[in-house]
Amino acid sequence: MTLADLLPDSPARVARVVPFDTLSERLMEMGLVAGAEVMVISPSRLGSPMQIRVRGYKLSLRRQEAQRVELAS
Amino acid sequence: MSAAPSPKVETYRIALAGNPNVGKTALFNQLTGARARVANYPGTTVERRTAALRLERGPAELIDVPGSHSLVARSRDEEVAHDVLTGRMGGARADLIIVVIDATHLQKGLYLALQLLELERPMILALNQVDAARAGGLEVSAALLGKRLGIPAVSVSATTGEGIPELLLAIEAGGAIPTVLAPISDADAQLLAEAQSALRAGGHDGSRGEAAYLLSSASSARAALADDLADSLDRLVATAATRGPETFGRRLIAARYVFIDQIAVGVVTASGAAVPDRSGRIDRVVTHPAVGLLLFALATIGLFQLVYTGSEPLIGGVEAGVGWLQEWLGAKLPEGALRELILDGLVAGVGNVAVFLPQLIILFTAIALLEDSGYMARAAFLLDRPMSRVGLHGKAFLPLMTSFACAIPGIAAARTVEQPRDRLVTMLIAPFMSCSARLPIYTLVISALFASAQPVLGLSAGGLIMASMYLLGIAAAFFTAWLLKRTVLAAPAPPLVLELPDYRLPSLRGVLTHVWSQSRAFITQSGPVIVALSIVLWAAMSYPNSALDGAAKTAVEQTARLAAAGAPEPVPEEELSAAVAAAVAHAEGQHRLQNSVAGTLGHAIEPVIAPLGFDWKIGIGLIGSFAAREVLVSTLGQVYGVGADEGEESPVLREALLRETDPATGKPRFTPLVGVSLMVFFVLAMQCLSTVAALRRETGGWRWPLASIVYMNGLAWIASFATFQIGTLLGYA
Repeated sequence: MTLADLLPDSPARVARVVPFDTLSERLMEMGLVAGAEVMVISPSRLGSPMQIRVRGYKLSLRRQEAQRVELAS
Repeated sequence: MSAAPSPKVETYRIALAGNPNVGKTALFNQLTGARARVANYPGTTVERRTAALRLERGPAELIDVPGSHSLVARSRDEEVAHDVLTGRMGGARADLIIVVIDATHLQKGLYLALQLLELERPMILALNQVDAARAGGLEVSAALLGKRLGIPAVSVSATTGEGIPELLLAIEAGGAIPTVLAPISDADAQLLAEAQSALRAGGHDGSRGEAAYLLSSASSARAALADDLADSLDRLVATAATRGPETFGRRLIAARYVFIDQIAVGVVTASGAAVPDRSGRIDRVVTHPAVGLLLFALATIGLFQLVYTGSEPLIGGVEAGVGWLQEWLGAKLPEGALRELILDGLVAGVGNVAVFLPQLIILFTAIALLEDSGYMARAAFLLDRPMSRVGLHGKAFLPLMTSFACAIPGIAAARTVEQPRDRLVTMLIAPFMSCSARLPIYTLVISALFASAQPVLGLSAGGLIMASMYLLGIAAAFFTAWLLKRTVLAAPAPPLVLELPDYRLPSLRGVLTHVWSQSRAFITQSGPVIVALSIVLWAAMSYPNSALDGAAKTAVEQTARLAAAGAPEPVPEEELSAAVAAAVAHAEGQHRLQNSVAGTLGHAIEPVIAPLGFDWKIGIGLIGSFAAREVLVSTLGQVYGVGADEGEESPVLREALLRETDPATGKPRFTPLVGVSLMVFFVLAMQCLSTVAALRRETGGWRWPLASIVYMNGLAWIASFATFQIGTLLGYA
């Protein structure tokens, strides 16, 4: 499962961010590393970006960026 | 060879670094009393804010490093941040780094702090917004953080001034060179150590940070080094790749966060009842897909109104002031070329600069408020979907919206767009938005040619034509963005990784500082260009100074007298002589303009603009309109000899336009089709020298402004040509 499919208000942990490119590294530098707790505040609605909470701050991503973030089951 | 001892004491360079939105600039203002000098970093549009700081140890300079999330450069701001800190950007590296961390967002700030520690320069930690953290029920221990990181740490609040004296004391003491680094695997440590010694052998600084940066960046970052050094680093990167499933760079990022989790233990303690998430509640409304968009639309309409109408009395004031100055100086100065140069060139040019200031100041204030309150990030969030369709970012919307008032503040507002290529696209399409200066031209043409046109579906034809001109501009802008993003500025649609900072009440001081530095930058950087070009244009329209010959003068006098004689009542002698003198002055002005460089040019470009339906008189107007589009109306007034003071609503000018006939055919020159062609040209053409000056300033060179002139005017010509020729074929001529 990826962050794009996570339901709002249910915390999960990041497994890894794929593929191995600079955008994934950027997401990791923003705190989305293995083991980090993430929560969806508001999902992508009508194609809008989604809002998540990670490491105590709010981040907004498009669905396609959130699909890079694989979650630990 | 040893360097000669410098006679001057070296300035102690202090860099203030931190994430965006941590109150870094507010802290900068607190430390320096907001005496910042703002310039651009060479070859960039990234602002360089510095201020002198008086220290006991000698002269010091505080540098406000652009906010960044990481030292690995992925945007222009981050690249500049990296280069300033490591000394790659003009001059020495920082002697002292102050890392500013937002106490309410500790973990993200610590990530940058760890990267800065790796640079092994003297460092201080400033834990900012401790008051906000306290209000949120959190106590953050700066002392414990400092101990764990091995550098002095001070709690401060840039809003209240709390802790500033302590921070200044820490700056005097000079900070400490960090020794604590995020633990990494032995194999990776080995690789780093090898890279460091290779760098040192090559005469480099060789800090762990430099080695880490070069090993985790793309090979292009290493290509700038000496060949053998780049080769050995490339080999180390290849070795690193075999050491596990993750890349070296990714292992390093993960290791830093593991260390952050250890550092943060026990640093934050709840000091009271947790306060409900206010920003979250606001966001539920403000970022709602429907309600949020509605609010956004209202906010932008309000902003537009404010920039457009709120500035009107001020613009009127500026124009009146310039007019008064011209009159006052005109009375003082002896008649002659020098007086004309000063009045119509210099003073008018300064007026051309000053006239933009009301709009700019209102706009800069509004932008500062939107940025500092945290709303701008939400606007970018809301508009991301429509803007990503043409390959742009949500943040590109505001500059475009602003450009409906004026492209100058619009281009300046494009700074909020992060990716350099997208910022450039935004700036290049902004001038297509129909600005307030095009309105007088639309008004003149529509009222002269379409006043009696039949309404369409109950809507006035004039209004519909006006609206289609605005739509044409928008369509051209989006087409151009689409084109640029697929060709010369090809780049994937920028990813949206956008922090939504907590809402905050903007501080008056912060907003004023922002407005002041931005306005000053406009005056000092765009101002001289606008003044110089205004003078050139004035000269072109005034020289060579050919006087009306005696016979022509007599003819004008006679015509004026005859007109007076035809009046039903006899005209008193003094009124008659005044009217005759005015007629002569008019004729002289007209004659001078027609025979000036601009007049000659008007004739010269006639073959080029004839296929668009324009004659040489409109040609002069077009040339004149390059100072500012609205000048077309007064230039046409001069060309058609009704006086430059007739405005776009003037019936006299309207009739003069309608009376004008083609000398070859005897048919009216100004047909509705010519009018539409002229408006289309004005929608698309790059005619505003002030915009060119702003583009030059923001792009740091002439390349893009010149490309813009060629592209926009080419497009305008093609569109007008198509309009006029197709219209003629369809029988509208």
